[in-house]
Amino acid sequence: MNAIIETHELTRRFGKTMAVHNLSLQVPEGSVFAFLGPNGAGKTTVIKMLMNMIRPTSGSARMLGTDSLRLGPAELARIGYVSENQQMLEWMTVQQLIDFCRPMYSTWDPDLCRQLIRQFELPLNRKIKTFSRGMKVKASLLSSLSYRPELVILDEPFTGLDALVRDEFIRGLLELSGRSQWTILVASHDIDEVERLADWVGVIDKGEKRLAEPTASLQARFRQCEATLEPGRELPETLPDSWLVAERAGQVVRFVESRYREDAGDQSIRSALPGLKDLAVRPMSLKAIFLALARTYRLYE
Amino acid sequence: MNLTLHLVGSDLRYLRHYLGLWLGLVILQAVLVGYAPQLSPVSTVERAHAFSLSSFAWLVAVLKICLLSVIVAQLVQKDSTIGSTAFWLSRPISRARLLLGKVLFLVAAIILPWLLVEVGLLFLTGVTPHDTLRSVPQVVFLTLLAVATLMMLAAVTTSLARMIFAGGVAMLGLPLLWLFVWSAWSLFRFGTGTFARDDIRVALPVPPPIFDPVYVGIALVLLVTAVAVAGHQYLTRKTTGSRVMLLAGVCLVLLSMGRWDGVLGTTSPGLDKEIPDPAQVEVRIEEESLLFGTSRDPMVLLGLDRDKKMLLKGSIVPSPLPPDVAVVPAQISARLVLPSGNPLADHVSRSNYAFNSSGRSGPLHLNGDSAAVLRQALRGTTLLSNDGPAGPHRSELFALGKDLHDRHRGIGMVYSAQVDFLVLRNAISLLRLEKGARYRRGSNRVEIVSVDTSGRFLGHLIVHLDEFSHRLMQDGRRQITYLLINRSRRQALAGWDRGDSLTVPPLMSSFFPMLQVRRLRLRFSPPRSGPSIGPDWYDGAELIRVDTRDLGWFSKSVRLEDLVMERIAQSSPKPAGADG
Repeated sequence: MNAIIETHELTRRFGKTMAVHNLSLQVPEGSVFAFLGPNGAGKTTVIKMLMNMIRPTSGSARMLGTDSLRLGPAELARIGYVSENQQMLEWMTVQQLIDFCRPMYSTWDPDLCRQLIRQFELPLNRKIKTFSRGMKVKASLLSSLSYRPELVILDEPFTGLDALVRDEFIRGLLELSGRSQWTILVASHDIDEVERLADWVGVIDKGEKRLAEPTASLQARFRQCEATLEPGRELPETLPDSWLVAERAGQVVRFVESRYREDAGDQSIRSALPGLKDLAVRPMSLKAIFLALARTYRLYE
Repeated sequence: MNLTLHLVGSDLRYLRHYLGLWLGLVILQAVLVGYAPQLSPVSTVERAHAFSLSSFAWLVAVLKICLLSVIVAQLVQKDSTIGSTAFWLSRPISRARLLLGKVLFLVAAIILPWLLVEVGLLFLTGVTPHDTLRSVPQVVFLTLLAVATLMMLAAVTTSLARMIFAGGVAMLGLPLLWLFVWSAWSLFRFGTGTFARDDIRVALPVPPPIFDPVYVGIALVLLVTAVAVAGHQYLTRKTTGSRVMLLAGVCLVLLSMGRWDGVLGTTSPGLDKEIPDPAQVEVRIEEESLLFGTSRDPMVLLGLDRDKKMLLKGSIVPSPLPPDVAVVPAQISARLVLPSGNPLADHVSRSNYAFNSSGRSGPLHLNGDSAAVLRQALRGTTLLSNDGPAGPHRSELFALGKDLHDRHRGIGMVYSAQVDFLVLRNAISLLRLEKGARYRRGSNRVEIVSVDTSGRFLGHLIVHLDEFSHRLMQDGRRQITYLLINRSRRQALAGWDRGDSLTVPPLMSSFFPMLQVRRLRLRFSPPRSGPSIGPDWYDGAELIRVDTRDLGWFSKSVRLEDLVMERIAQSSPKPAGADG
């Protein structure tokens, strides 16, 4: 795997608060990586360290093969960054913003820029400060995508966008990434926003990595299971580690199997549950996996 | 470079309205100074509540500084180096390029127009091209100092309000704290007796290379601090480190106060060819002029020091001196020795006239040294001030505790001292006492606007004049005094000047002088005592302008054998114009 973003035991502390702890992560080139986690999980801190906006307390990160602390204009010209926290040049009109950004990038694509303006329905001569939040995000996206960056980093990009625009944007992004082989890192607290987009998923909670793997493999190994036990049968004292959020209602046991193997079928479950009468195994959506993981980590604390 | 210019262009667009206002203020200030005489009719200086151009010029200067603060804050903080949300952080703009862009903007939009307007102003006000060119480094230095200091404050803060607060703390709070600590320390340090002679280093701030090394030293440290802090913040974005550097810089400024005399100001004696060769000069203390007075030491007056001081004063006379040269005993490092050969006490006195810019009084109540300098300039002419004829000048030779004085008053002692003389040159110019009479020398010019003789039967005369003076800090200290002289009677009368004065740079002209435009009202009145001044006195009078300039210094030793303190008169003499 050729990683375009790599972190090694990346740690950031703010006073006594550990915002990110020993995070090691790889984002493969050409992937759309959904970087998920609840609010305050440390996603934005990680991204800011990747972008050399803040320094890590310890550990290291590499972006496009360069140490993030040495990230310079040459690398930044290949990165598109949009964040809900980023200050916009609000005193400019969209046209002025384009004129300001264009000379910084040798790869600026006027056709793509025009296409994005049309797609986002941005008025060229209105000052950005008069825009709604959603429109500001669009202007930011316009200034960050028009030069066809190799790596796009989106930190909560959908905040303020209505459902229709978000849908359009995701479609547009998918189209662009498919066409241009962009690598996209999308940080979000809401799985709904990125479910259709991501082919890789990373989950972070309380500054620590919970998982990072391709969506397909994740969806292949997670299954929602519902087992019905024979009357009078009790659950074994210990359940397998791979069973998450297990609940029992009468003779029915519901859990999420996180190490499901298609080739082995139900065999491992059946062997772990003697007296099993009936078993229903269903594939899970990314959202359901995310929720199961979130509940699990909270339960274990 | 293209991208840097692109950034500068963007900043120019962003701040264009502020810059327009800024340029307007710079030009307004120049117009105020350049056309001050035309804008200020004679009548304005007559009325107590008249509109004052100088007050307006001050207001414009303050507004200019406020606007400059806003511009620099906007410029720096719109692309903040603090935090992680600035737009430029995710763009292919290096920190060095951003800094270069900001510096280029400040040079192109602030420093250069400022310099051009000031140079144009000097040229238009009749300053010679040579002096105008000499002014350029000073204008650039001061502009740079203001801009760099503001940039430093803006770089380590996130808003204009915080910048003002930080500036207030750094520029006012810390100096006040320093003043408090220094006052408390000096209360204990100076509270006792006399100084040991070896503690005091002879470090006279003359002759120039630099006007007043203290201000230049402070300004240099501040400038270096500002450049270092702003550079550090831009290139590393380590705000805590930059703030620590800022605090350290301000502390360095405070600690370095008073230490620049020895570094920048002390020069070898005799740099100017007119400074007398000490070997050729005889110096003596006129024994008949010796007098004991009581000290008006604030420590004693406040009751903080119970040991009342007795001041030994006397006239120190050096001769011969070259014509046009005057000397003032600037520092006297003295010792009293008992017959046994043991020293009784040491004392160092310093002349306010020589060491403080404010020590040179106006001509109404000429203080001792000022009067002595003028008297040396006039040579043989009696100097009359408001209080009467100026008497002989006595310098402070020694200060002794009352207790010590009383115990040794009958013993014959030896007084020895090293006297460091400040050497000054007086250039005297004569103006006919009539409207339109002019004087011009180099960049300096004077014109009598009117002569009001309506009060001369009561002994009063009023002269209005316009004066353009140019000087730079490296020219050294200078004082201009106007007197009326009646050559046939060999008498000179000091006047009382009041006027509207506009100076460049307005807020710092006392430290870094450059151009002064004055509309002066000189009022001459007969002295309360001494010879009578009437219409016939004024008929034969002319106006003279005494331009006194510091040249340098030389040192001589003096000695008084068998000094018995009880033989010296004890009084608190206050003859007119004597004893500064």
